[in-house]
Amino acid sequence: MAREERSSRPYKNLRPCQEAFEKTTLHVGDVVLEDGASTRLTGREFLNEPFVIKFGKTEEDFNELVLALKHAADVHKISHDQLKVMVVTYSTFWKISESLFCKGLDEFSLSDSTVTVATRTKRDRSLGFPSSQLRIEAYCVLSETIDKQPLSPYRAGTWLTKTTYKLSTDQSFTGFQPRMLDDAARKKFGLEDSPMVQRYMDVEADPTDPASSEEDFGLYVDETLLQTLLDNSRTSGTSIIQRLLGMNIARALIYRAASALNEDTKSLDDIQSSIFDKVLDAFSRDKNGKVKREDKERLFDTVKKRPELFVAIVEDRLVENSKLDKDLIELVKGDAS
Amino acid sequence: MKYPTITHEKLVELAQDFLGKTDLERADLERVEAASSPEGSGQKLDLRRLKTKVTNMRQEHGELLEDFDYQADPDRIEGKLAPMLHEGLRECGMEDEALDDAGFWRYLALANFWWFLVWRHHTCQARVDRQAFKEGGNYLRYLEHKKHEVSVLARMYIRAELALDDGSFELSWKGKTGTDVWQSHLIPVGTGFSPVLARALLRRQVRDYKETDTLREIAKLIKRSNTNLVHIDSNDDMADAFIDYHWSHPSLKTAGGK
Repeated sequence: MAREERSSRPYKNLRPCQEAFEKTTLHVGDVVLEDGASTRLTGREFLNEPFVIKFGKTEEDFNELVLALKHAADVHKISHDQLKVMVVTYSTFWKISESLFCKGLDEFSLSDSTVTVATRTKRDRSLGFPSSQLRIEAYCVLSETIDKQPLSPYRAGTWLTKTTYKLSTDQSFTGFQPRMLDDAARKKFGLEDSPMVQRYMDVEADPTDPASSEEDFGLYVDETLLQTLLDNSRTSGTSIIQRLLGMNIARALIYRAASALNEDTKSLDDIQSSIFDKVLDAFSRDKNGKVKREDKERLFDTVKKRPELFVAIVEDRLVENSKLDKDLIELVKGDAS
Repeated sequence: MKYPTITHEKLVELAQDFLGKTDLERADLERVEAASSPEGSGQKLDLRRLKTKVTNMRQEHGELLEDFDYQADPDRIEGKLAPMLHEGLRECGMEDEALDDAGFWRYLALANFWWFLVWRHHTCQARVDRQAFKEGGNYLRYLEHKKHEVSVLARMYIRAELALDDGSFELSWKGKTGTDVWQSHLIPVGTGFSPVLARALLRRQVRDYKETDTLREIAKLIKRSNTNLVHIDSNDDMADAFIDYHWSHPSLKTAGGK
């Protein structure tokens, strides 16, 4: 589904300029990020590398973008001087946001398609917090409120086009390390009277909450079983159980997320940077690693309406990547050693 | 600038040893200092002005607990003390390098604010369960500085930053029972990126108080609108108009909109 056709984007005829705008890339040193991409940098890179925005890969792209923006303005009866192109940063922990670049559309159309928003020595404040995730967004924005028209932007600050890039020095989502289901953990989860329980998924926290982190969720495994797995880490039995446990926590997280999303009618933007946002990213990347917004939105809707389908998609990917099907058949046949 | 930090490992170890205490004693504080390690380079961060503020905060805290308007509203007490934390750190000349370092905030939590964090923890517990941090409790989240809405010091600092308006921090404490406002509708969400918008919401809530359920509906509407908007260039008038529009939105279904 096209972005402008979503219920949260009640505007028509913005698809061509959005597509032209999506050719905008962020360059951090040698790292190139396309729209929707995220990357992990070292703290040193984060604090020292130049940040450059390129509005198109070529001058031709840039010229097409300017034409597309002007065309969109004309279609919506917006004067060109009522639009501006901006680059805004959002440092997530301390809630610091800054405008690093802003030009009216006419001025933008006459300027260079490449904009350096930070150099090694000249960096705005929001770029000085490597412990936080940094989100950088480029927009074409309505600079003043205009007369309201159906299916057209009218409020000052409404964006017509947008691209997003995420930078972090944190560990990205890497799955879950099993924790020990010992007496203390059993007591904590009310499992004192169920000593034979072999695994427990702690998904009490909300994985769609941007403030949640991997540590809030636990994949607990019976202490004897976990120790046995650790002591026999190279057997195919251990390998199979590890993969099954991975699916267990994924399944539990998906159902927990579905419940949270339906309880609170959250949008995709509401859950930005949450654990579940990362899970959706992981399953929405194309072969170049770029998160495809449309695929992500489709998955997001799937989780809300049919979580079991997303569970199946996740299992399909996990089985495909880890060849679990083959190993399970060998196990059943008695060939696994 | 050189500033003190505590590793997460040391925090866990010390907090475990301090369980059950509502305030730390001299020997405990000496252990905190011994466990701390300096980060950064150059001039040492002088925290004496903060310590003076902490003394004032203790006194103010005691007085507020006796004040009928505040004693049943711990969030408001937090809001009243938040600017003192903010000012204390600013007056010390704290730089962004320290602000960004969780180790520094872990140090502050142990060296200066254990008493306050234990109290704040009390206020979140059922009355029968009120006691100091205890074995098996989920107390580390108040100390470890990982999530800004549960890390009490972080949220106080952000609260003061968002509330600060023309030299006044009044919006930090002016609204009553603001837990939901601050911890759900401002700090963790996009609205918190725009101090102008945050202050417009706070002003409106002071002027035209909404109960939790209605406020949640309004917050959802605001979040939905925010997906299409960039507020970085908004001014007070624009933010007030935006909040006013959602405050009286026809879709609000809670009876009476209170």
